[in-house]
Amino acid sequence: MKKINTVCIVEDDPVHLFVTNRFLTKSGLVEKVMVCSNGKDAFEQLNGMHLNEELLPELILLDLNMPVWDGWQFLDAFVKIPLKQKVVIYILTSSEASEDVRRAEFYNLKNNYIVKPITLPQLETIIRPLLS
Amino acid sequence: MNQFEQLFQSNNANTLWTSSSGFEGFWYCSINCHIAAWQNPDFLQELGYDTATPPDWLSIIEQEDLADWTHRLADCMAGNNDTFEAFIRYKHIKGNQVQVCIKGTIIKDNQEKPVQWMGTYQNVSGKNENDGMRIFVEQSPTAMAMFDNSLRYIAASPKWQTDYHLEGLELIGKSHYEIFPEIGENWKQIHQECLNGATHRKEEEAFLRQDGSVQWLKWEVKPWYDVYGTIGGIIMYTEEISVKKEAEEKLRISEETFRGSFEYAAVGMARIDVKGHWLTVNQKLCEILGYSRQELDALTFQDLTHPDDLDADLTLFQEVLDGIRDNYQMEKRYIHRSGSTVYAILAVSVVRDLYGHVLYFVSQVIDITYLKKIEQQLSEALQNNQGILDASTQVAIIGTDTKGIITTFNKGAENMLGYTASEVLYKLTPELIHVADEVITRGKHLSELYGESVEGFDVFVFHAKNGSSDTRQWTYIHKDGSHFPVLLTVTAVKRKGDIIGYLGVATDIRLLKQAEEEVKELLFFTQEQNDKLRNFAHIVAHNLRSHSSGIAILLEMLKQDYPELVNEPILTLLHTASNNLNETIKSLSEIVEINNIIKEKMHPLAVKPLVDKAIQQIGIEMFYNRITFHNHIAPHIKVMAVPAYLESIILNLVTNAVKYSSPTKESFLHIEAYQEEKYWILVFQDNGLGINLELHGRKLFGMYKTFHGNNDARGIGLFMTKNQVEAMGGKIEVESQEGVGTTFKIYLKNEEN
Repeated sequence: MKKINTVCIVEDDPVHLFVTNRFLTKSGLVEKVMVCSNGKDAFEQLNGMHLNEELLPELILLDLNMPVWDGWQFLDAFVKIPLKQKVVIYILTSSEASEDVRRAEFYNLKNNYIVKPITLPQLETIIRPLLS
Repeated sequence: MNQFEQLFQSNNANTLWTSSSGFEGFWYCSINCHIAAWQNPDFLQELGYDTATPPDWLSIIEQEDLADWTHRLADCMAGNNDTFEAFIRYKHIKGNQVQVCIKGTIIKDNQEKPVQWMGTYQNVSGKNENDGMRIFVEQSPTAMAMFDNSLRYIAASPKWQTDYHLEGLELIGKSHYEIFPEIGENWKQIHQECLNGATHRKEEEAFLRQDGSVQWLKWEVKPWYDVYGTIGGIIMYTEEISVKKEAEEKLRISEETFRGSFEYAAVGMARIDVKGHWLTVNQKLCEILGYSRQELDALTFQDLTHPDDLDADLTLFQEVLDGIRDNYQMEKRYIHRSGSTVYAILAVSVVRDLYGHVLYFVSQVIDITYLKKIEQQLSEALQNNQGILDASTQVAIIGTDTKGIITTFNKGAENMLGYTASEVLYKLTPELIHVADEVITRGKHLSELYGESVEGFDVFVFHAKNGSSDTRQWTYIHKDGSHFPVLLTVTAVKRKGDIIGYLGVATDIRLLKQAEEEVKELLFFTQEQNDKLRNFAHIVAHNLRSHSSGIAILLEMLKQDYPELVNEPILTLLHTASNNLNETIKSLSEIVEINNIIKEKMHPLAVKPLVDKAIQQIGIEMFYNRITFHNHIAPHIKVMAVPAYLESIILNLVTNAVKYSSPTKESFLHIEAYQEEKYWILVFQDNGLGINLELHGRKLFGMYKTFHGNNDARGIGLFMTKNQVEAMGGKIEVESQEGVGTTFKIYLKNEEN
């Protein structure tokens, strides 16, 4: 069975991190999980990878409400990296606020907006199209 | 024949007598004889008769004259007169008549017995019979001329000569036409007619003179007769009446003018007699006093004069009557027919006759009621203005002339600024009480805006000068040097459209400023609190959800990983608690969301289909509770609403009706709508359990209130409904009675709003 190489989870809440990680493992569709505790951490790690010309994760599951940099700040910085590969980002948040949904639209992520808790079938639906 | 007779028969004596006395003859006869017994034989010869064969006297006397003569003799005989005089016409042998004046008296003897008639006679036609007429004409004081049959002058009066500028000319014997060659055919015609016996005259006729002026003449042309009764020529008589005519004309024009100006005068006019009665009044006076001419006839000016003004009027009137004055003028009041007061200026003059007696008065009345009213209004307005100026102790009113020099400085300005009016009036400009920097800054601003240099006093009046008023905040400087903010309005003061000064009205806004600051602070504080609250709600809704969903998923995983624990009571309870927590947080999130409602989300929505949909959705529950729905809402009714909210509201109310229907009776829910002002009112009326509003009314729409102990009562429904309705600009009302039923009224704006 094919797998994608790496999924990056940007999440500060250990419970959700645990749950997401667990489902990813359970799905068996992912080779490696990369964890970042906030937006800034994620940007620095991913930017470093880009500068080292390493392969970036194919999928990023991004929480919005985080310390240091929140999800939006990460997005603002991340979109400026001139990527050479395709990276799919899903917002994974517990916010159903219409304000957040509208804002996601601005980053063209309206359809990539999942309200926590994520379920295994949802995760599988996200990953499948990415299996090349 | 007695001696007396003999004496008279002597020719010598007779001739002597005649030549010395001017008598032409002498006569006598007996008392019983009417005809002269003796007469100078020359008399008969004069008449052309032969003295040898004298004619019968009676046959040569005009019968009419004989009768007159006889009558006069009888009068004398009767003793009525001592003498008589008679004019007797004798017939000349040629046929023409000769008039003789005969005078006579009675001669009495010693015994006073009449014995004889005796008298004189004189030929009054005579031989040169036209001389009398000629002399008369020559000496006439009027313009008169006498002509013969060929229109040759026989005589002309001096007046004739002067009137026709003929002085010094020898007229006699000359033809009239030679003297006046310009005489026209019409006149020659008249002359000829007169020579044939006609008389022409005109009382007045205009003759155009060569110099263009008009000469008015009264004239008469008539024939004159010689002693033989034949026409000897004509006599012309003229009288210059131009002066009289002019005077007449002047009088006529004057009268006409007076009548015209009297009747059509712009002021009321009247002639008044000495008692005050109206003799004649003009139309204008009738209008001023409101009476007709007929009504005024029965009244005096005293009747119509305001009682307070009557004495003054009568005093002056009497002074004119007494000759102390000839006229007077006064301001007085009349009483109009309607009872209202008429203010007037009265001018009275007097017309007297030759002897100084008053004939009548001429009154002129000018109605000044309108002016008086304006004057009173103006006076009131001025008083009001002064009152305002004086009473405004808290508002500074400062007036200036066009140069900025202060001309008004009211009590309020004194109070506000610490200066007295006398310190600033006519000396200083408002720049004294302004902060110079502010004026300069404002001046620069205006200069930039309008591209012209504005500085000094012009800064304050720039807008006022251009026809608008200017209200803005300035800082005033008190005499003691302290500064304070004012709101100053500057307007132009105009007279007949020209600016004659400016008026500045300033209000001390220190307190207002202070209040404004306080309100700002309060608003800021409130805003902060509100933000905190919103933030709190957000955190609650968001973070709690994150945690609770974590708990829920962990529980799920626990169940999957350790299926043996599924029936463990603790885990079951934990699961329930987790679900409840999730539910609570979901509601909270929704409420936070409602407050962020945006107007653009509202659309006109048809209500009826949404109600039908809601009924359909809960069909199953309806089955259990045996409730009947009556949707009476007309299909066309639309309200402004957010679709999800309206659906939620309707579903909630319909669900409530089902949930709280009475298990003991046939339940129903009536749904209808009616319009009131800008609202459509949706009415949901059931006959369910009802709510004790006295107990629960206050809390009905609160969060987490359930009233019936139903298993599935979330206690959030009505709270949500109320929030949603209000977020859409509507309101909700409830009427309920326990055991009877509940009626909800939802007010939602209609489509037009």
